[in-house]
Amino acid sequence: MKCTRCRAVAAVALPRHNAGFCPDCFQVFFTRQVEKAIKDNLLFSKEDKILTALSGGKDSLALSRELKLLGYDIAGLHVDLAIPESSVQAREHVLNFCKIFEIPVHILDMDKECLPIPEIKKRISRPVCSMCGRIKRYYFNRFALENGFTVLATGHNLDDETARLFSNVLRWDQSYLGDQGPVLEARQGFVRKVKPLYRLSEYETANYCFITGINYCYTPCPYSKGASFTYYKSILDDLEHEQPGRKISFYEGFLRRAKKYFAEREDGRDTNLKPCPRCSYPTSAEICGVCRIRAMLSAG
Amino acid sequence: MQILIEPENKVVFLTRAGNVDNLLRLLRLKPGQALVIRGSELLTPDRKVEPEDEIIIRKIVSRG
Ligand code: SF4
Ligand SMILES: [Zn+2]
Ligand SMILES: [Zn+2]
Repeated sequence: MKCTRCRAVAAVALPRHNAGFCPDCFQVFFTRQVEKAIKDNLLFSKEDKILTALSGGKDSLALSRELKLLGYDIAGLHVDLAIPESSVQAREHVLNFCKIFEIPVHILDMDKECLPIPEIKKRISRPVCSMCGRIKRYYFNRFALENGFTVLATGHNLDDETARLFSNVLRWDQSYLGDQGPVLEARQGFVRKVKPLYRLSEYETANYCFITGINYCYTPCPYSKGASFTYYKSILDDLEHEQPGRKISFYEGFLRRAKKYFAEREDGRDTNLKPCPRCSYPTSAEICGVCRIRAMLSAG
Repeated sequence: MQILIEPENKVVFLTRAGNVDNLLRLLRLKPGQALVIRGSELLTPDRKVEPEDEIIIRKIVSRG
């Protein structure tokens, strides 16, 4: 197979684009997809102060490299979950990466915050992922707001986004469907959130990391069996294999033609948010979710 | 042909596979599910692989 742009030997075949690229042209392709996502959805500008959520995995590192090279003002935040089997490696990969690419990086330790994930895991019988996700969202959001960032960028890719959309559609979850997309506007107590990699698949970010020499962490989290959407991802992989381009057309079709019907219904839903009495994070409950987890842990 | 499968770091040997597409099929993977690496090179599904090749199959893992 030859590179679609320069006719050299292709390194990456992309059936959904009906194309193949050599390493250099693949990087051009990747950058264009990121630029298109930013431009089409007005994700941010050079004036924005961007915080990237750095897990140490391929997506967050690929995203940070791209934004840095495109000249955006970025810094990274890594939330260390204190999981013995994977957190040390994840943190090291983040620190090494940021050093190489000269990206300022901040670390928040969940041990120090009295929220180590393994301790939470011990106290609950269902998968810990939903609480872990809640804690991460809480700290990324809080850190961004408290430190003057105007946007939080995450490495969610096309596979993450289509799996989430598929799951939301199967449940016809109006509220989640109304919010789903590459940008979630800022609102009372919540920073603006964006997903610049939504046009790129997991496979494409993995190729990108190999080609650009990004050393990412692939030590799996020991609790990842409970991670959401794993099954939906495999169904969608089968579909994409049979019908290349299915994922992006499903997702973009939703954004263009369907999202508005769900988003309209959601106006005014935030009116019952008030600051948590313990930490002042916006919540619709008596006490916010993270303070409740903390209370559960201190109850022993 | 020696094949190292990551992230499990499992080594398997195959006598012949023909091309990458077929190699992936023997390992029950789809082309979009793993990088196929020979030395410093990425191989597309149409590329031929030889019995003396050492190949790394790097599965795309989602860490959640
Ligand atoms: S797999 Fe679950 S527990 Fe592990 S880091 Fe991801 S969300 Fe947290
Ligand atoms: Zn080329
Ligand atoms: Zn609180």
